[in-house]
Amino acid sequence: MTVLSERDLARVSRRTAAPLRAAVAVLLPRLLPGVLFCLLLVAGWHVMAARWRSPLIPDIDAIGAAVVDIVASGDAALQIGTTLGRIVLGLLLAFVVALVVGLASARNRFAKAFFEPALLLGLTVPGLVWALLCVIWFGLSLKTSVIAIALGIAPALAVNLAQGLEAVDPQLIETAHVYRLRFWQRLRVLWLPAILPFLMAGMRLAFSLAWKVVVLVEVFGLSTGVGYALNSAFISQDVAAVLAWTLVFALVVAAIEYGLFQVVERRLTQWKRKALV
Amino acid sequence: MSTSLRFDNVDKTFVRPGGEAEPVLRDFSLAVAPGELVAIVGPSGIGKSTLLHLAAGLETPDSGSVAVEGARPQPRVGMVFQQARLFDWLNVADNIAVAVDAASADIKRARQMLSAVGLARHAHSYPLSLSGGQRQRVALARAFAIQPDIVLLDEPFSALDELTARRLRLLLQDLWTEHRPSGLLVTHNTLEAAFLADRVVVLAGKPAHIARVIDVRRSRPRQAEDAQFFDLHREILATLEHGASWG
Repeated sequence: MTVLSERDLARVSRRTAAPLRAAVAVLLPRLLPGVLFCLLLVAGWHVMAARWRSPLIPDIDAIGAAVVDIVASGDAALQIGTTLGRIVLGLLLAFVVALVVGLASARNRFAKAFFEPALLLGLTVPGLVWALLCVIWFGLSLKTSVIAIALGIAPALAVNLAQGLEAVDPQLIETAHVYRLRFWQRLRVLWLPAILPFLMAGMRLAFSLAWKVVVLVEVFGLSTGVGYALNSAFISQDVAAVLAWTLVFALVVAAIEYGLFQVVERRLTQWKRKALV
Repeated sequence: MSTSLRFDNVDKTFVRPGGEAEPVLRDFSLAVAPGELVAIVGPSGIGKSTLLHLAAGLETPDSGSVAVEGARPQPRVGMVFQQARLFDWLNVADNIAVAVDAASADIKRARQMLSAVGLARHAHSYPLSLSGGQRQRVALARAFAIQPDIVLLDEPFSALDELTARRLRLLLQDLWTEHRPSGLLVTHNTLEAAFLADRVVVLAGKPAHIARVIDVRRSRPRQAEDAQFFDLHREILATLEHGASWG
């Protein structure tokens, strides 16, 4: 058996401590402002709750207890999972529609002029209107939420995709033509990398809009999902539960942003960092 | 004479944004023999690059024909532009490999050409981390890696400093001597035209016509300091000045 001397242990400890210190030095300035904001928000809320002592402004303990309650009972996972499922289906439908409209608008002047009023209308109509209309038209079904989400986010997604496609360097399109790149090669090495920043921005915007639309649909006409849970809490005037649901869903959205969108984006744009080394 | 590239009675007119028609080529004919490199020189805007774009299939003639012929039913065209025009998100090896793959050429050629242009150790580098000269080397490697029937060169060294351009002209000469494709070189540099080409075609007028064809009777490898190239350079310049005085 190998026995490490104290000097060896100190050396190993120095070796592992150095990268840790470097990571902290990089992460701390990035995370500190956000953490500071959250602490000030909690402190501000705490002062407000103590000052007014009203059931309309529950204190931090009551909100914390409500969070523990919905998470421990499994209700949060069930309702948030249901809502996220609807969002994903709505996003997929919106993406297909936006791809067709965005591609046509970027490639054809007539198509661009043709779709322009529809996109303008779609961008200005509030999500609330789509939610109401879809509940009236399609009743209480999965279809209602998926179509309402798609109607609410497809215009923003289509505009982003069209802008991305229009921004593809025409000189690279010429190069791909001269070297007779096949359709899939053009898609892989030209179109997708070029539109990626626009696509990511569009998906982020679409995701944030989708969640607002689906919650409205769930409030108006469904008996599952975060919107339904929020509505139930609202009916019983349980402000702590409303805040708890909002907080937990916001944490899930943040986890998707940092754990999915940013990871995918970092992976797909790693060439930029390598190019700058 | 068998040919690799042929312009037969080509007419090309562009319509300016104001709606004004601008004839660039009228009844233009030119033939490039297999293995021959023809340089096109002439004033700016005369239609030199239009000839390359027609040969590359990026433009179509209004009338007449442009034919590219090679050993294969679908001749392979390599092209080097003023800017390297690489895909910044692909590394150097992949930039070449994608063109080789599209041409269904031997994929081993990508690595061989990288070695030939002196960039083997940069295979996994990204274009933005390379100098302008290195990027243009990659563009040359891409053009030759597809085993082209014809190579089109659109002022390939004009954006580089003279020392780098000089090195790349020698590299192009080596590649040409080894692979012997046919080619068109558009350049404003008359000394470069004389040094690299087998024939220099001087364009003049609007629409453009061939003012003069100058044969460069020098075998390769050539020496850049060869006095004959300076004589040819003066001869081409004199023809250009004469053409300019016609209006």
